[in-house]
Amino acid sequence: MDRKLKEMQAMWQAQNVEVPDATILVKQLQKIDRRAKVERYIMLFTAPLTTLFLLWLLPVLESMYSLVAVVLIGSGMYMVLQQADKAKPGNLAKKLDFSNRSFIESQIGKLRQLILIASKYMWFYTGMLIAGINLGYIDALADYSMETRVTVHVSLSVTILFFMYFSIKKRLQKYGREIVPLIDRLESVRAQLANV
Amino acid sequence: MILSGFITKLILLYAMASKKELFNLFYGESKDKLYRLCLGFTGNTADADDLFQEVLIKIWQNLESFRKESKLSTWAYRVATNTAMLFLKRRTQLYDRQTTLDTTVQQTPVAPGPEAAVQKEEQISKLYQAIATLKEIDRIIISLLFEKCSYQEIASITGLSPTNVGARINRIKNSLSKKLV
Repeated sequence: MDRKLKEMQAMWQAQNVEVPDATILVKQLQKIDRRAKVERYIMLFTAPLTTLFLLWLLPVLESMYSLVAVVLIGSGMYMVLQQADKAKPGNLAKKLDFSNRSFIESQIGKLRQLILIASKYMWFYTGMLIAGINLGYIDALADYSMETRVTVHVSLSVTILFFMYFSIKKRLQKYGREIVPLIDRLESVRAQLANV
Repeated sequence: MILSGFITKLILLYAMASKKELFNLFYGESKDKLYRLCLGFTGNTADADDLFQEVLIKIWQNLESFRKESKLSTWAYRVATNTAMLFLKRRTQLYDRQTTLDTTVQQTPVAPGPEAAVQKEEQISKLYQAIATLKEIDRIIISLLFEKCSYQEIASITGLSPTNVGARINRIKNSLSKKLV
């Protein structure tokens, strides 16, 4: 190292550092760990519990429609919950011990995947949920007139569609504000790594 | 005697296996280095404090993967620099309308004394601010160099080749020299 760099290094090292005591910090970090564990358990049990509830509620052994409905709703819900978990900011960058280059590559891929999930796959899950719920209502509405049945099915489908449309739109707007600029920044760092 | 040594070693190993113990060991060893790195990356103490806290959270979350690594500092620098790259954008967004006054390194209060001490504090502050104006990868490279990392280590942290690191250091040196005049 030449003289100029050594001088700068000495100045760098001379910077006064005042960092907090680790005891309080460790307590806070352990609290974060516990919270994350609880969240994981909630995620793990929500979909199976709801599926069990639907199995108990609907006559799955007597009607094929009900059985298919439970399967569709259960899998659709599980997929949505899984994607929601992936979308959490804390879960995005959990593995950080790669080189900067590998980390940037993986982050750009993950972030793009998130946008793709919201813009494309969420509609697929919406379709599954609508189909499942409508199938579940076929037997329940069997005794009613055709007009009533059609009205209930259409109203249900439109309500779910609207709800999903607005939540997908909201999520995409959020990604536009937070994720798209982050991808741009990471792309620029990637370019810095490429240029000598 | 041999048995008691063995038991002590076992106890130590068990203690080391505990996440808390490992973190405390890491914290004691690396806190100053990592804080300087955060300060060099952000250029001001407010952001450096936040980044430092975030780096510690990420280190805590990634501690399990450290056990496979051979060198604690290289591993910690990887986690810290990757966290910094994601963190900076968020801060930039939050502080888009920030005035230039807020982006300076807060100087450590200096007791009235020799003029040389005050001058030295100013120079240190200028250096950190100058580093914070470099491109992200250059900030990382020069901070690691100042923390006495070898070219090989810097290359392994950034993903660049050691030759490339050398060339960049030369360029960064010239750029910093101009900024510090």
